[in-house]
This record gives sequence, C-alpha cells and structure tokens, in this order.
Amino acid sequence: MLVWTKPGKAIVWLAFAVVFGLLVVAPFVVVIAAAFAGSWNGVLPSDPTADHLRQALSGDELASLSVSLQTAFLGGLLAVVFGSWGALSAADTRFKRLADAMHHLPIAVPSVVVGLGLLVAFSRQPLLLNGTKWIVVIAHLVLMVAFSYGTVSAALERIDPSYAEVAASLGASPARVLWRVRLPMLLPAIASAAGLSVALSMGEVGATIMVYPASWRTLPVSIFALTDRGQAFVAAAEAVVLLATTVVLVLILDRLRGRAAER
Amino acid sequence: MTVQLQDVTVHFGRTCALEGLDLSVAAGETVALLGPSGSGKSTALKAVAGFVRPSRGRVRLAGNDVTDLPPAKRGIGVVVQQYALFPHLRVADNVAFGLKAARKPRAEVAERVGEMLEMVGMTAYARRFPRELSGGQQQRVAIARALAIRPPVLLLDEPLAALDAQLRADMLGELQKLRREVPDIAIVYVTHDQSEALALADRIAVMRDARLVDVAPAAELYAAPPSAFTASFLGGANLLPVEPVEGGVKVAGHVVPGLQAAPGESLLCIRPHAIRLEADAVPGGGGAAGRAGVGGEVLGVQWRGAFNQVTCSVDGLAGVTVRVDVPADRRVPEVGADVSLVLPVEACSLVLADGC
Amino acid sequence: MAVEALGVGAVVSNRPRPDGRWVWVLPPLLLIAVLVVYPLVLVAVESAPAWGEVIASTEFRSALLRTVQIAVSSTAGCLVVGTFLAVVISFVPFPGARIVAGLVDTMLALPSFLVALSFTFIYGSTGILRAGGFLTSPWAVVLAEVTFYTPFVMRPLLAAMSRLPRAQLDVAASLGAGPWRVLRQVVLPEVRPALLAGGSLTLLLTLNEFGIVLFLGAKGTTTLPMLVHTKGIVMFDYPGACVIAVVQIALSLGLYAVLRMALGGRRARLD
Repeated sequence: MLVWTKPGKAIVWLAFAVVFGLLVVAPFVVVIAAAFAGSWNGVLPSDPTADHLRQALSGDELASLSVSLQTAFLGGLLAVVFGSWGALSAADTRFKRLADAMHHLPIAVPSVVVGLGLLVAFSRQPLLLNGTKWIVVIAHLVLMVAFSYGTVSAALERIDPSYAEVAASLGASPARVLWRVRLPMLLPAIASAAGLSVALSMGEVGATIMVYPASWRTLPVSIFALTDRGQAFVAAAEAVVLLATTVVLVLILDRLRGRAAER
Repeated sequence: MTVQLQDVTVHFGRTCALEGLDLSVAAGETVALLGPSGSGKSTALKAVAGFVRPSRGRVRLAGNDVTDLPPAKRGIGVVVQQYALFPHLRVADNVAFGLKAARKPRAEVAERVGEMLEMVGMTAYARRFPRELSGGQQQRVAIARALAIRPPVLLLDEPLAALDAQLRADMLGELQKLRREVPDIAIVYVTHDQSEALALADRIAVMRDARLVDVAPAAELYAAPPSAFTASFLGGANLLPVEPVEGGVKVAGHVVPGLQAAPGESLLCIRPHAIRLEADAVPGGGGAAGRAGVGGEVLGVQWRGAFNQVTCSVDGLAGVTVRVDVPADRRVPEVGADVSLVLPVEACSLVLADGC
Repeated sequence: MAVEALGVGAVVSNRPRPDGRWVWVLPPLLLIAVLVVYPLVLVAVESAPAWGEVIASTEFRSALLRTVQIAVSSTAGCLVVGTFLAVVISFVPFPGARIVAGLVDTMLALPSFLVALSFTFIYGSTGILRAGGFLTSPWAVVLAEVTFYTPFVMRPLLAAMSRLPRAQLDVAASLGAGPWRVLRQVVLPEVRPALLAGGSLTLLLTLNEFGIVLFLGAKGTTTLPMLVHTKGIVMFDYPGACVIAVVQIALSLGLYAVLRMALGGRRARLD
C-alpha cells in the first residue's frame, strides 16, 4: 500500500532486516550466545560449554535468583494491589489529577534518585530500614506501583461507566459493584500490570544498586558485579537465567490474562 | 403517579443539560422522551435512574422522594444504549445479578431467571456469554435483566439505536409485545426516532435544548402539534408563514378560509401527505386568482417506493421549500413544472413560531 | 506500557459520586507520599550545604552536558530508526510482521543493561568487531540507548498507524503520489502526536538512564545518574549526591512538565 513494486519491497525489507536484526535483535542473541561460549575471539563464539550456566545456577548466583524472585513477587504484587487500588479509588474524583501526578513521580525521576531518596529517608528514625531487605522491596514497590497505576488507569478509562451504573440500578451496593463488576472487568489489565511489574522488577538495577544490603543482592546486581570483575561470560549466562525466568513468569501471567479476557 | 419529576434541573459543570423538567408517568403508561441529541432526554432518564444528581428539583417514585437515594436503593429497571451486559457473566448470571444483589434465595433466583429468559425467548442461550450473542439477543437479555428485579418503572435509553434497520423493525414489534406482558409497569422510553415514539408511546414528551417543549398523547401531538418544533420533529410537517385575514389566513397570497389564528400563531402546519399537487392552469405563475392553492415550482422528485417525495418552492416565499408525498399510483409532475399546492383546510393547523 | 503509564489526558468526568467514597484514595496516596515524596523532600533538604561546591566543579558541569548530549542524540536516533521500522511493519508488511511487532512489545519489559552487556562481546577488545576504543566512548552509550529505546518510539507509532485507514494511502497513491510524498503528506501528519509522545517519553527515559552507563563503565562517560551513584555509594558523599539528584529531578520534571503541557495543548486542539 506504500511500496508497490516487487524490487522496491525487497529493498525495503532488506533494509528492515539489517536495521532490526543488527540494532535490535543482535544484542540479545549475542548475550545468549556468549552464555554458552567458552571463548569469543572472532566473529563467532567458540568452545561451546554449559559451564557458565552451571556457575550461574550455583552458590551466590543462585541465591541472587531467589532474592530477585522474592523481591519481584513481594514488591511487584504489592505494587499491583496499590496501583489498582489507587487507580480505582481516584477515578472520577477530584483527586484524579493529584493521584496521576503522584503516581507518575517515580517514573519521571531517575531510579537512582528514587534509590538515593530511600537511602536518605530510611537510614534514620522513625523508619530505620537501611541494611534490611525491606528497603529493596520498597524500592521495587515504589517503581512498579507507577506502572501498575498507569495500566489499570488506562483500562478504567476505556470501560464504559454504564456497566457500573446498570449494576447499581439492579440494587448492587458499591462494594458489590466493585467485586462483581469492576474488578472482574479489569482483570485482564490487572494481570498485565502484574506481568509488567514482575518483569521490570526482575531487571531493575538503578534503585536497587543504591539501597541493597550485602545480604540481599538481586540478580542484576550480581550480573554487574560479575562484569565488574571481568567475568563477562558468567555474567552473560546469568543474564540468560534472568531472561528465561522473566519470560516464563510473564508467559504464566499472560495466560492468566488470556483466560480472564476470554470470559 | 409512579414517576414524578418536578422542576428537575441538571448541570454538568457550567453547561445545563436539563432545565426545569416537569413530567409524570403513570403505572402502565409508556412515555417517550423524544428529541435530537443534546436535547436532555438521556439526562432526564439518568436523573430518574439516579445516575446523575439534579442540581434542583425533586424526583419521586410512587410518591416517595428519591432525589437523594443512590441508584441501588431505587429499584428501577434500566436498559442502556449499548446494553452493558457484564461480559464476564453468562446470560443467566447477568439476569440473576440484581436478584443475587438482593440476596434472594437460590431457588427463587433460578425460577425468576428462567421465567424472564422465557419471556424474552432466550432460554436456549442461558449458558452463553454476552459476546456470543447478536445485538438483538443482547438487547433481550438486557431487558430480562432489568425486569428480573420486578421494577415498578422500566427506563429504556435508545434501546434500538445499536441495531440495523431490519432488526430495529422486528424489535419494535417485540417491545410492543413486551408492553402487554408487563401491563402495570411505567415505561420511560428515550429515543431520537419519531417512528419508535409513535409506535410505542401513549404520550410523547418532545425535548429540545435541555427543555421540555410539548407533552401530549401521541395521536394528539401528531394531529395538532402545539409548536413549530414539535410539528417538524414529529412527522416532518411543512411550516408556512401566514398572516391573518378576514375569514381565514393568507399563505403566499392565497387565502385558506376557515382557519382562525390565535395571537402569536403565525405558521401554518401541514403534513407532506396531506398536500395535493395540481398541474398549474396558469404556467409561469400569473397571479393568485383562479388557483386552487399556492403556486410553486417542482425542485426535485425522489422515488421512495410507496410514494414519491416531491420538493417544491413556493411563489413569493423565498427560501421556503415544501415537501409533498405523492402516492406512487398518482402522476408525478416533472422537475421544473409549475404546480398548485392545494392545502385542504381540515389538514391544516396553526402553530406558534418558536424560532424553528 | 510505560507509554500508558505516562499517558497524557485524564478524562475528567462530571459524573457525581456519592460523598465519602474519596477517602479510599487516601491510603495509596499516603503510601506514595511516605515512600516517594518524603524521601525526595529529604534529598532536597540534605543537599543544602553542598550546592556551591558541586555546582562549581567541572565534574558536575561536564556530566550535565554529557547527559543532555547523550539523551538528545539517542532520542533523535530512536525517532529515525523507530519511524522507519514502524512504517515498514505497518505499511510494507511481510509475513511475520505481527510477530516482530509483538517482539517489540516484549522488549519494553527487558532490562536495558543486557544491551550494554552484549556490547562487551561485540565491540570489546577481544570481541567480534574488536573496536575497543568505541566501547569506552559516549557513542557506545548512544548506540546502546538507541537499541534499547527504539521500541518505546515504535509502540505508540504502531498503534497510531494501525488506526490510519489504509484506503487513505491507496487513494493518495492513485492520485499519483510516490511513497515519499505519501509518507510526508498523509502518514506523518496523522502520526505526529504519537511521534511526539514516543519521542518525549524516550527523551525523559534516556535522561534518566542508568543501567547502560553503569554496565558500559566508560571512564569518559559520566552522566548525572551515574554521578549520583558514584558520589552516594562509592564516595559516601550524600550531600553531593543529593545536589546532583535535585538537579536531575528539576531537569526531568521540568522537561516532563513542558512536554505534558505541549502534548496536552495539542491534544486539546485535535479534539
């Protein structure tokens, strides 16, 4: 509809393949290839090995995976609860603008600054949390709550208000309207917010690196430590572990969403 | 009176959506709120349902003031334009929604749902989800859901607007049948389509610019519209400026005898099918004398199947066009022909000029 | 996703709600106030004693310049590449174009440092291209950011382009317009709001980007977020880190506010 000739299309597609392949896809392919390479001294990796992966799944590194999963579930899912709560309660009230602005704050500000803020605020009374895992969980909660709020808020705006009105006219109390109509209809959006939160939380590095205690080192922090020590191949293997875990989690949440959307 | 609106006024921000509406609907009566979009008819319905809160005035149901009650406490059946069937609930659960909200015993809910689905002919679809239904079927479910709670009042907001023309005609028949099934319920029917209003309503309330213009039994409103707006909106009447003369009124130089103009009445109202066209005896329009009616010229002819819709200009009235419906079995004048427009006095009425 | 999260245009409804229900909005707002607003206020307070020293340092000035430089270059790159890719997916579709579009969606949720990590293998001194010097230059950061943030431009563009009636392009072509003219005169005017939305979001995110810069670890490439980390964590100079954080907040929020206003105005005019 834009390019009509066969050769013209071929050229455009070739250019697309080159740009998309080299610029967007290649980095991810390279990381995956490096995870399984014993060495990489030419165009192609050599000495295929699973040693890096084995290393990435043992000892401290395995502990990091567990820490990341716990943080993602605790922080991410709390974020979904509070984000959805915020979006639902602020809709149609005069607090909508204020709630929008406050929830946008953590994404508009660099994550490093969010981390610095938590560090400054919670290294003192009345809330002394520095040095515990909770400061990491809070950092993730704060960052992901913004995304959850945005996703659910956008979905709410797309839902016709007459559903809630009709439900009320049929005698349903506000609580019943919320549980039986609004929440079920928002379920796909909430599930997708959960997927997004967990995925972003798994890969979060900026705020985490500011606040994490030695006892609570997430996967991205471990990966950074590895690259910093020059162990790039193990770092790549651990990045693959991170990617795989994230994809599996998102797929599971996506299935939930699919099931919710089907009904 | 089952429903009583008294001076109901609704503001959205600074815009006034409904201004001082007074209207009553009796049990067993169907009242249509008819008007163009933005006329306030849907707002009036929402005020009855409790979806909007009036800034002034009272809403009463069976004599009780419900103005400050939330929708959930009013017990009114509502069918909205896009039906708003809950997409995550099956047909039966949609119909059961209000009964479950009222915590009715399970057996009673099942019985009532079965009853309602049977009434609207949807028993076979009880286990389906709304998205598996056609528009007409969704509408039946929406009506069953609204009636399941045995409301004294049923509000229908443009229930046929989302359907295509054929289905709309069928559903109009269904709604007439439904009316007979629930003889004691007061029905408020919001529509912009005059044919729906005429087919279903006992009384029609014509609305315009957030105000009620006229309210009267449908036949009366059609036969003798009190205002120019009602005349043209309901049935597309022709409106011709007149001046009173001895023994009648004068239209474009032609006297229609026997019409008595009350003060302020300056428009003659006549339906398109009531005008008779005659070939002009004096081509070129040479004066009013000897004519059977008002002189004019044919501007266009559209065949509409059962009749031809002829558009004419009127000699001496610049900018006025008259619509005449000529039955298909009559001869139709050519475009450009000079004709006489015969206005039978029994089909004419005089209305107030209200800026329309 | 992020685009929605930052979406402009809250619809303010006049639908009245029973009084008293607004109290439910307080707990989530309180949460944000305690966990975000209060810490940021403390950051501003803590920064007070260190302003003069930090502002005067060349380290700070060059980092500020670098940050803006990298963000602007990256955003420009993303806009060019993203527009090209989105146009091909939308208007010169090939088998599998939808899969590619889906892939773009997924990439938004992946961590940015993966790109930087891969660069060590591609451009590292022993890697594929053996362009060791490049890896430590600001251009490596720009390239990595273009790679990572291009999907953020593509997503709103693809959405806008899918809403554009195909018939418009066909009619333009039937009137004798070549592909460039169709793009310039039919497609671009329609998708300009999406381009602006995606571009401004990308600018904001690249100003704030930290993971890529951290992982590339380029000596000569210090940005403001990087400086916050160095001062705060490596040098334990909290007040100094706070000053930079405040500057960064002002930069990000100021830009964000300006863009929201610009976009909001545009939206209003379009309606």
